[in-house]
Amino acid sequence: MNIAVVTDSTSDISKKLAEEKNINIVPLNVHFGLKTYLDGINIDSNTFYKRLLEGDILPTTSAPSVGTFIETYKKLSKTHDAIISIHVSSKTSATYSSALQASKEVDIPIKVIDSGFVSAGLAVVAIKVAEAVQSDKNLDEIASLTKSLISRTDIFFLLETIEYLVKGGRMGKARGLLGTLLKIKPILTFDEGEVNVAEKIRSSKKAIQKMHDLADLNGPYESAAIIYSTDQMEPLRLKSQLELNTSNKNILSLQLGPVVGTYGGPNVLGYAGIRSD
Amino acid sequence: MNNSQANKNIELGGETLFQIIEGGAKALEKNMDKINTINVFPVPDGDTGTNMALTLNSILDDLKDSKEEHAGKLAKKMYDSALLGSRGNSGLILTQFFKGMTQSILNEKFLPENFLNIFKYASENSLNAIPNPESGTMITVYSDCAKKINVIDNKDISYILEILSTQAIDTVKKTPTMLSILREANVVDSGAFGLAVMLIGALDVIKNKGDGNIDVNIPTPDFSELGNLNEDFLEGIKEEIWGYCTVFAIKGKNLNLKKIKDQISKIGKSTVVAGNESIIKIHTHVDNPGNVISLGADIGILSNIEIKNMDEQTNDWANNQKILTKDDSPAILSVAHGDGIIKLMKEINQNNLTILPIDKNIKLEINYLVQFIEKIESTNIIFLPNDKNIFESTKEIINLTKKNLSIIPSVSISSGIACIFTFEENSSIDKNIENMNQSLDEIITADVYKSSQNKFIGRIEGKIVVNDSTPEKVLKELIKQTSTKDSLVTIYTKIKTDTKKIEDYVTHDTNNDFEIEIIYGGQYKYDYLLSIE
Repeated sequence: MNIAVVTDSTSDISKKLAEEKNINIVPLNVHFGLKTYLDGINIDSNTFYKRLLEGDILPTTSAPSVGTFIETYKKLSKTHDAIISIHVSSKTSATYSSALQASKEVDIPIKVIDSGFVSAGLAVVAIKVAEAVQSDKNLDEIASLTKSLISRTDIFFLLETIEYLVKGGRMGKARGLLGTLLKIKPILTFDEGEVNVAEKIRSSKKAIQKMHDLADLNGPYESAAIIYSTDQMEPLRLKSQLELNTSNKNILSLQLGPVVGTYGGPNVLGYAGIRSD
Repeated sequence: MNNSQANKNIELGGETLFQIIEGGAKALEKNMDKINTINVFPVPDGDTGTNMALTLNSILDDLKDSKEEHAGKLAKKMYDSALLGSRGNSGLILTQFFKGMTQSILNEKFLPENFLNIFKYASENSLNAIPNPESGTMITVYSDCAKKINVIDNKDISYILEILSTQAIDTVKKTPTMLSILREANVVDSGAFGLAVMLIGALDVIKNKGDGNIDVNIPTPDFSELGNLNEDFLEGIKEEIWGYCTVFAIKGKNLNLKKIKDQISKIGKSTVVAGNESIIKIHTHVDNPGNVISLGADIGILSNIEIKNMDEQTNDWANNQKILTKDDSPAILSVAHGDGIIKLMKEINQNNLTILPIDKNIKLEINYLVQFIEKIESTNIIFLPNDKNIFESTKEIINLTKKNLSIIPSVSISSGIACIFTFEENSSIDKNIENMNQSLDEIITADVYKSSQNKFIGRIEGKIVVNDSTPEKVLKELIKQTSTKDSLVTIYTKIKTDTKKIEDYVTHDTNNDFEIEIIYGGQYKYDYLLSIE
């Protein structure tokens, strides 16, 4: 069975990697005022971060329309027997809803899956699935593999500031951090599809150390990816730590694209890994 | 003959349909920011208004040159355009309106009642399209408007738009009674309001020959249906833990409160029935929720149904109790002074912390402390003296109390705060003690106070290291001696003051790249308390 893999641009999978792994990426939109850009297509990360940090309007984002998904699915239906479409947490974006609705308008079988994650959490899963469709598995088998991969995925990230997450309304279960007297550097995770606090730390130095501890104490991982937005030094150090605990030494470096960067802001440090069976 | 003549007069074409959407788009754009400000659901990202306006604008942009006269064909084009151009969750639900339009308006001409039918389809489509549809949103506006089809016997589109706009606003007002997150934020639903705005814009164009560019005020939440009712209701609940706790509301006409109460009371326990002739809320404990629900369904329309297995809750509770007696979740007893410090400590730990406030004029008596400790529920208590003298003088209390007391050598308030911060509810008492001791090893504490000679003294770990004429000079010197690159310096101030000014002063001319946080502590004696970690 020839199964196509679709995900969205919040996976932060680069164009090159997507081509290499045969993954189809549907872009979300990022808006500066009423001006709309397609995530990673007509706005690149470096331009985006410059505008985010230096400009005076805060960007907003929106899910791809149903029509965008229909177009992608229809195009793939000409060359494939089925589609697995894995997306950003439905609790943070309408992308899953759009995809699900579009899947009903296309003639070939399509499984739309809510990963409950974003960025590297979504990427590591999508990449594994793209490898798995190479073997002769049917759509149900691929869908159940996807769900198993999701259940084995960890994601942790440290933001230099939670300002962008707060302004973008994506604090999720971490809302308790708002209005606290003490400044806290929270290590965040995704919990049932929403942002939640994994660890509360007071200083940046300790928080970075804690990220290394998490990469060391969790797992072992079969594959992993690190996340960065502007600074790459700390993420590279984390990558070496993660290598010690991951069987696939080819650990990906993913840069938060414009849509996820709208909420992550500058100097993000994070990783996602799929725990070994 | 007369009939078809009458129909012919009110038949509408593509142009009217286009005007309706154009008016809606104008009104949405005009009120966009207002709609954004009340956006709290499903994601509080303040873009519902923008997304709805963008969705309609993309349709108009696509079709502005088409001049399609055929209403059915125009509807199809609008839907196709909405599919591609819709933005966000609200755009997606708005797309269901256009899908409904293609289901309802098929021919070259359409009748006002076809327009009404769009809402019925939009409501059904939304329930199918949205993974977790919720009441109190745009979907409720669709379904409430759809109900008007049975009520309106009028063939005039202006009149129909007027009825729909009024209904939409009424529904918007009630959305907080349906969706708790709106109730908490005390706002109406943004998407529902957006739909109402769209209809009002359409009305302006069709009825008043305006351009739709009108200001619409955000309706005030209307709690009249549930308002007092909720209070009475909560008042009335005397929990008896048994069976399934079943809660729901019945809407209907001429509901007989007393009769319903009698009926429900026969089936369930702890029954509370409150409400009025048109809406009644019911709470009861039953062994089979099905019976009481079907009884309710016979009476009227059910909503807000919640069923909880009380036995499960009882079991959880019993299990928790067991854990408590087995491991005995530890309590922290922390000595503190200063309103800011006490507030901060309570904020860091809300569940396990007891604060023993002390005053500068009153010596802490051992007997009082022992009595205080006995009153704490937990058997295992971690005691943070947070003062050198108190630490020294209370070592013996371990022998004076029946509790299992562990004293942590925290000799300052700032080290006590660090200890409270490391506490983890789910870790064992030994692990917590270990973590606290470790955090004490990792931090340096310092303080600034006024000596009797009107000099300001600076101490590091209790040893005097500096004195100077102002507390800030001393503070700066202390930070210089203790901080290194990547340190986190926390300063608690005695008085409420301009923290930025202090920060600028102490960081000026220092090469160290440390983090600094200044918080009002309100402590006595010490102008500044510091921790450097």
